[in-house]
Amino acid sequence: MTVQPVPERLTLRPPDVVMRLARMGAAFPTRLSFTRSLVRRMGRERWSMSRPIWAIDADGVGRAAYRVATPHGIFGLAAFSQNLTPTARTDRVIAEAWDASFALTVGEATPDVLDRLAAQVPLQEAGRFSADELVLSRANRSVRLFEHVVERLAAGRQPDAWRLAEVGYLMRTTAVYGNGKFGIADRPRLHDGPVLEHPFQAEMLTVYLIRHFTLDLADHMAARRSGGRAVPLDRALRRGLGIGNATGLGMAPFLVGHPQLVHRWFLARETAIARVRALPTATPATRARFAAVLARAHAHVARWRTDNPGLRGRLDGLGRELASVALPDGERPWHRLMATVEATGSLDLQELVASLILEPHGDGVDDLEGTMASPEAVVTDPTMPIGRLRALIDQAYGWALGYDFARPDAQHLFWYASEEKLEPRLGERWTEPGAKLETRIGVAREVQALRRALEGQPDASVAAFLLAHPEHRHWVARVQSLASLDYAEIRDNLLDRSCLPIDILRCKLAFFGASRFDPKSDRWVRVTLFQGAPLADEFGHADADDWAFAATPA
Amino acid sequence: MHVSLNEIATTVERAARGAGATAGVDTEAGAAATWLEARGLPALDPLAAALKHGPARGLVLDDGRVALADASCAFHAGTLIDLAVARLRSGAGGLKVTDARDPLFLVAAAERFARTGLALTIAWDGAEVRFDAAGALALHGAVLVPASDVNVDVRVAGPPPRAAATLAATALDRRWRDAIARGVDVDPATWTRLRDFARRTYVPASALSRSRGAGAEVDDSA
Repeated sequence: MTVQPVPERLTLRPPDVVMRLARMGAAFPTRLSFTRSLVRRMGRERWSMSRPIWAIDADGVGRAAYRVATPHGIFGLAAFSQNLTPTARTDRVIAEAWDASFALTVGEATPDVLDRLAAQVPLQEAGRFSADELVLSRANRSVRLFEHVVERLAAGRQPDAWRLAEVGYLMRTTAVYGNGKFGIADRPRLHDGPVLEHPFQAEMLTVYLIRHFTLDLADHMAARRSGGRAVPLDRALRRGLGIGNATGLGMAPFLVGHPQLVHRWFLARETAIARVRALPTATPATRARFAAVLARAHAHVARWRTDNPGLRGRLDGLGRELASVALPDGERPWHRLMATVEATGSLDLQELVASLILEPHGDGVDDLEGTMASPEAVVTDPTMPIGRLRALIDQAYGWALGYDFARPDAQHLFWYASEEKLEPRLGERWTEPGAKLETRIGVAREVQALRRALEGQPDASVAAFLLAHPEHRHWVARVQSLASLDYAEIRDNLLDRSCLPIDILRCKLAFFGASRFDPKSDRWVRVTLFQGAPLADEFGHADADDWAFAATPA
Repeated sequence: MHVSLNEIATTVERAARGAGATAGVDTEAGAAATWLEARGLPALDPLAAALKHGPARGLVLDDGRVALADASCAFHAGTLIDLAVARLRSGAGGLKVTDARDPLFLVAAAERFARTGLALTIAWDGAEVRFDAAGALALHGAVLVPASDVNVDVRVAGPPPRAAATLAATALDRRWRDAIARGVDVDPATWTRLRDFARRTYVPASALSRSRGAGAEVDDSA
């Protein structure tokens, strides 16, 4: 697909402000996030969903199939469910069994397809798949909440709304694999048609369908347990449940490894913010919508559960700051509101308000969701003279040249792939083995090394330099390909002792649409996806796109 | 064994790194191998055979020639095509690569320049690969015969050979679309060899590293 640049003259927040870890670690989902754009699309194109196969017993063991009809083709979700023993249940990538496992299929997941996939999908990474499978995933129950819901429904009562809101999901996914992993379809296959071509749309559709599976499973197990007394889960409660996700370090290498894509994501978001800031006035309707979503965000922050002391303190502060946020009267109110929070507010407040001001302006910003894909790779420009490359580094990578890597703390961390399921991990360079095999994530350090190597070189072509210095090949291509892309690089030293991987995770998850970030350490986080999103039979409703910072019961 | 194109790209990238390829060279080897295999052209078998030798060291340009010392072009294709393009665009003439293996990798690396209108010919013993000005590719002669210790000429394309192409752009495009839709079959022994070299880039797990991975060790169901 061709991605068109955004031909606008707007004042965007500069990359030295936007692409810093601390700010990325304060990111919030926006209406351009992938869950939101998928749900809008499902509504706009009137996708329909059904459940043609449900063969699950009273203990939740069995298989099911969901069917998604789009104007461009049929997709299926194959679901395999078991009743895992508590000792086998872990959210780690290195786990080997899960409560449920899933595959998104091209075409309907018929009984024959389920038969074929039953031998593979529950094995996850140990299985082999075909290009007819688009996404592979698995999930574990949130055991106490799941049991509470089933028990209450079986007794003819609704579950405790507060407990539902507190957790936010019945199951959480622990991996969602796409793009050719384990033999499934390559991403270019998705680009072949106009259905799931946007970034991570196939993955988000899978997660959306898993959400329905978890709700259906709870209803089903309650009905089978009750002997006729059971009630189905109330619609409002169903809508208030999303899907949990446990995510670890893998997202950080992804962002560094896909810089053009990262640039597209940030450029779309920052362009949207700049468009709204440039509006001369606010209409009564946009003011009302903003006030409503601001109130919802306030409630959302107040009920955001985390045991992480650092985040807990920040959320308490954010709640207090939100109490004084109001859209000013007069000209350019959106810009003046942002300028005020930028001058006086925390990073959390700035990023939250930046997200909130987009909410009333779908007509003005939603077109940007079509600009968030990038098929590009970094490549060399072999004819560029060395002098020009030096100047390019000095202009575009000045942020990288100031770190002092002679200081041990500046490269305290190293990132690597573990032999164990190839799990991305983080080591401490001065005390752990393996640093020689580190993943290429230290952009600042490597660009500095390249800059030093270029010093004193004759002004020949880059191609001649790289013949003698193949060790710099990636970094030359990177600088040449990214120098004009403001938002391609995380402008921090990811090897520094102070680097917090959860900042990177939160940023990527916010682009996905994840909310309620709950860091369990510096290295992994739990989030919720699709909480408050319309159910499959609600796409046509007037409020189908109005679920940002979904309200939860008081 | 049936694999996806992304598996080829990532496995070859890792294997090349495990064989000593530097950052960037490894990625390009993965991309080139994917490009070739998706078009039914041999890449994984020759690459797997070349892994134990790894890339050549200390390459120099001497009078328009680079001697590869029988190293595989899989490790040098991007660098050599860059050099050829830089020379051609500066008017210095083409590039001769001597004592080379697996010249088809040069074709994969040249494709991005061909798409920008640089009509190139890459020729070696009885084989000629020609991009036209529109970037369309035609393979002539013994292009599919395993090639080692060959001298390769990278130059601006002249008139097309009289004989019909062994493989033309339409057939190659059809194969590419089929590979996108279905993935490709690879030899299991070759794949195992690639994975063995890829494994050299992974850090063995330890109790310490495991404890520092993502996620909780025990049942942490909320």
